[in-house]
Amino acid sequence: MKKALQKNIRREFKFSLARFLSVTTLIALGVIVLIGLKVTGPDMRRTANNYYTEQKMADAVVTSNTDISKSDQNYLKSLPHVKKIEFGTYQDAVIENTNKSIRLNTKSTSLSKSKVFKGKLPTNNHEIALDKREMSKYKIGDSLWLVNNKGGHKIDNLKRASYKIVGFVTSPDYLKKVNMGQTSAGNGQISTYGIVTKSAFTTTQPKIAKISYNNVHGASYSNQYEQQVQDNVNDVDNKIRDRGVTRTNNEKQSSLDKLKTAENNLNHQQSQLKTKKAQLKAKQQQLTSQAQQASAASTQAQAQLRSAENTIKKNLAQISSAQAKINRAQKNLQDKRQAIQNNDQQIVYTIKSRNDYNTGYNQFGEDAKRIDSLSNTFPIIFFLVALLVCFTTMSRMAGQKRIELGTLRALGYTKFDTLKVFIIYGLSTGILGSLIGVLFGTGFLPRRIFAAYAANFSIPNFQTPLDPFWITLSTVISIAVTTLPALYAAGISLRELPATLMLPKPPKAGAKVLLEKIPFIWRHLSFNYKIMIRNLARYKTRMAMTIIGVAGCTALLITGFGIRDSLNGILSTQYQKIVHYDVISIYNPDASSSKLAAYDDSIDNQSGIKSKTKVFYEQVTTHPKDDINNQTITMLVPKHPDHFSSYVSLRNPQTHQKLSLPKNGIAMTKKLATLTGKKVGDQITIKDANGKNHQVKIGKIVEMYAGHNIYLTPSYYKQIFNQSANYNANMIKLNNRSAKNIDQVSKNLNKPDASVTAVQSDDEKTEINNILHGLNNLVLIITLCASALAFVVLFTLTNINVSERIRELSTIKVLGFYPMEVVLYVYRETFFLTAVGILFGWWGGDYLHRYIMQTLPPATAMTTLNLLWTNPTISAILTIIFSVIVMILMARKINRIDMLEALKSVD
Amino acid sequence: MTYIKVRDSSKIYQTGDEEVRANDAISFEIKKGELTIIVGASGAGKSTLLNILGGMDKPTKGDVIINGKNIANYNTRKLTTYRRRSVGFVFQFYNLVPNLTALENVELASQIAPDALNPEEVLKDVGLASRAQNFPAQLSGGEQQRVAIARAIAKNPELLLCDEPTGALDYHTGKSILKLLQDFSHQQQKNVIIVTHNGMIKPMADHVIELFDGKVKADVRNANPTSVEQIEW
Repeated sequence: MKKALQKNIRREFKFSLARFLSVTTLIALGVIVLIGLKVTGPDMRRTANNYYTEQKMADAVVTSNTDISKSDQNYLKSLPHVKKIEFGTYQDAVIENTNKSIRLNTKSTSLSKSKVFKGKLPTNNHEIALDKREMSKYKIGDSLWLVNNKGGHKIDNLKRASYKIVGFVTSPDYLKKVNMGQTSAGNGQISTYGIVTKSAFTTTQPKIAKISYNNVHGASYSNQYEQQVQDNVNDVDNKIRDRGVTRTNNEKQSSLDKLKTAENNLNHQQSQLKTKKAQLKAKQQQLTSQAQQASAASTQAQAQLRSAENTIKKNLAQISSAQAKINRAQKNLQDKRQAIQNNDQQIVYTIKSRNDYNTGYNQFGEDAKRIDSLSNTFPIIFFLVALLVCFTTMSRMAGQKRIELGTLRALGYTKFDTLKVFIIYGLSTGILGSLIGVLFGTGFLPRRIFAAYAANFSIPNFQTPLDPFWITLSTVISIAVTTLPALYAAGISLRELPATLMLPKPPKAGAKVLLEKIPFIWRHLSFNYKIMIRNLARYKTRMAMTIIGVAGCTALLITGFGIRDSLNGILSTQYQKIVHYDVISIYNPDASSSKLAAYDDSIDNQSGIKSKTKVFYEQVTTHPKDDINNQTITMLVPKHPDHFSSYVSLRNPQTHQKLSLPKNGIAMTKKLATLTGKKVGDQITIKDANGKNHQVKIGKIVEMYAGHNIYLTPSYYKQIFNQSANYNANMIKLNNRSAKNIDQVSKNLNKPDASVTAVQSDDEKTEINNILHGLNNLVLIITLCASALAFVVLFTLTNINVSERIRELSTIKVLGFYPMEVVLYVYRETFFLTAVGILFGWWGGDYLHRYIMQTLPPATAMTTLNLLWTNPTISAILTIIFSVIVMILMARKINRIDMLEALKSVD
Repeated sequence: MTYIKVRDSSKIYQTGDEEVRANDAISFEIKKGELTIIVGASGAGKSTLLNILGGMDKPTKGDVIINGKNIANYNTRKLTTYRRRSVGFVFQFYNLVPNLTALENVELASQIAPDALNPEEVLKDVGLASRAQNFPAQLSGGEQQRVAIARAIAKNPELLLCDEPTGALDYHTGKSILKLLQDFSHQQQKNVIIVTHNGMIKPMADHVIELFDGKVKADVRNANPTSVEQIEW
């Protein structure tokens, strides 16, 4: 047994604890960040997909702006590839004594089912299950009272206003926690939902149809799945819209037919009445002549005549009142006909895939994609820097043990025996580092990142399975880096004879540097700087390593802080510099004139309105090339383009110069232009709410950070749509811009019957805020990791530097250099390299940050790319602080150097 | 005039119960301008003594009075200043900084000493004017040791300490180095202390101190030192 050899190997760990710890830490950090960021995206999608599958989330949904008729239901059932179809309805109301609007949905039994978190689903018409997030306010057994917009308990479509809470659920229909959708109830935003039985509704006609397909394969968010669903949807999109048009026309016709029958009926009655009247008139005349003849006759006959006459008079009175009724009916029918003929309210059926009917589905996928894109840059750089430093350390280890190798060989140990120490050392650091990395990278980091996003989504049961590919890859690379460099360096040494090996390797010869050939500069340098420059040139690899290490870490720090700066930038720029309005109150311009008057009154009576302007508001879509999903765009046509700038500032995205609305074309927001790859002067196709395509010309591209918008003048609108804009909204600025006040005003604006909904300009604010809050955690993790990396890199490289030059340091110590002078003798280089590294880091960080901020934001948002000046400063200061801490640690080590021993040993 | 006075200086290493006395109550005096040789076998304690004299180590007890000041009581900082101002070292393995040219190695020392000599002059004095721009790796062993001596002299120290200065050199080169040291001492009236295990060179010194087992075995003054050229070993 080679006990002594084993002892020697064991001691190696003990005596080089600092090296062992730094290599292990470097590997662990690299693996944590690599695995963590690489698996989080897939983990998020897997978690979501499991949830969707479990709850049987509908592949597509058909919605109607009124309801779906019996025959159209049958038609939908017969569509190709439909596996299952379930019809449902919903109704919005306001929770009594709150500003909160609630959407009541029918309980699904086969598609997009709710998942019971606590309690049970409702089984009769007075039970309700609520969103799990309401558990903080209600408990099972409580009763929930609902009211309409005017505060009354009589709610359209619902049998009851009070429900007993029987359970709490999550629902795949409500993946997002905020911006759940728009409503005409309350303040215009759905803030929670409830599940009730079908029997709770007065109507039996459904409003939506949930569909699952039998020809889709693959997991949610996979191209295979998304493309197939989109194809299915696109195939029937027009047919389904046509059903709506046909139904509109049929219903118009049938009501006209009914009207016709009623009119005919009325006409018939009218003619009957006329005949009757004529008969009565004739009888009256007859009676009059009889009365004259009978004037002399008996009083009895006279009395009879008089009563007959009275009867006739009574009948005549009846007839004239009947006539009046008929006239009224006629007027009524005329009005109705007018109304039917004037009514261009179309019944619109739309079919949408998950991405379009459920914004949460889309956004969650986008968020997962963001992590994916982050994982393609950030952790790779991180991992590489860590590996690079491990590589240097382990090569150096073999160099240090050169004489020991020679001694062992001379004693007769085999080459394998002498290499054992590197194999065991490398394997231990590699495996231990990878193990820690896998542990935290698989569980901890993805959970932190998911928690950051979970602020906006309610998707339960985050799953973090082991990812064999990334684990294997990172472990194999880690072990390779901790073993191979040392084995390689030692292997080369072992080719020499043991006798040569045992002699110390002559120190690296000094050499003149290029700068010395320029005496003008060289002569002016102080002695210490000359030494520094020589040393830099002497250890070129280590110089490069330090620069790369520091630059990498500074870049990572800059990116970490930059992500937050950029997102913070959105809020202030978006809501202080660009968007000045607070709410858009949308109404139905085709409502009856009395309802419109009531709506106008309510706005006029609303206090606290600073100013308002009429706009035409419509949600349109466009389909970017090379993309499966459509992008939703808000189209705004201001009635007074000259005043529009006080509501929305159109600005050049680069120079931030104010722009006016283009005369001949649209103003389009920047992110949409980027997504569609369009520039000023190009044409873009947009699909309006009725499914019609229009070609518009891009006149200007304007700055906007959240959401897609296009703006056009009334005249350009008319030119494109062949009709004048039917202004349907008031854009409103309030005196008090607090969220609470905006909410209250929105609620008031929603009360009149003619009101459709109120869109608040800061709807996205909460969402951005939530993302920000989550990202702050993420940024904290990233910066902590980057800081740890920076620290370990500096420590390791300086440690190598010091150990390699220990003899030199002892010499100058003996010469009488004071401790600080000795430290600076080595550290001047490190400081210089750190400074150069920081400069490269600024450059690299700016680049990396730009890259990440272009790929990280979701499709509907854009961020400012500029770094705040504080960011590079803080990053540089942090790096310098690490450098100083390392220097203090090194100073202790340098001061502990025994100058006597170092001078005596030949090593 | 006494320049160095060592009184009962002991260096004791305590490892567990065992006590090792590297120097055991050493006492001697060295006059100003003497070339002193401390000789002894391996383990006699001569390097320990040299380290204490050079301010690199402190005695466990006893006094070491150099030029009237007891450096045995100095703290690390004061010892460093003492080394910096008053002592020049020459080592067995030269210990030149590989990355500095011969001249720069000398400058390394002259930079920090207050009354330093001109580095180029000193290099000329040791006969290496032509090699000033060479790096240590380009110099022979003897040349490297000359640079080391030049580096030690350049500080213009009161005391030059040499630890086996010829240990790694061949006979002739060694001789020329010893000559250099002897001349320096006698011409400049500076104290030079050479530590060696080679008793054959004793005649060149003004003063020989023999150590044995940590104690002073002999302390002899030599009124007529032999010139190095005439010594054979």
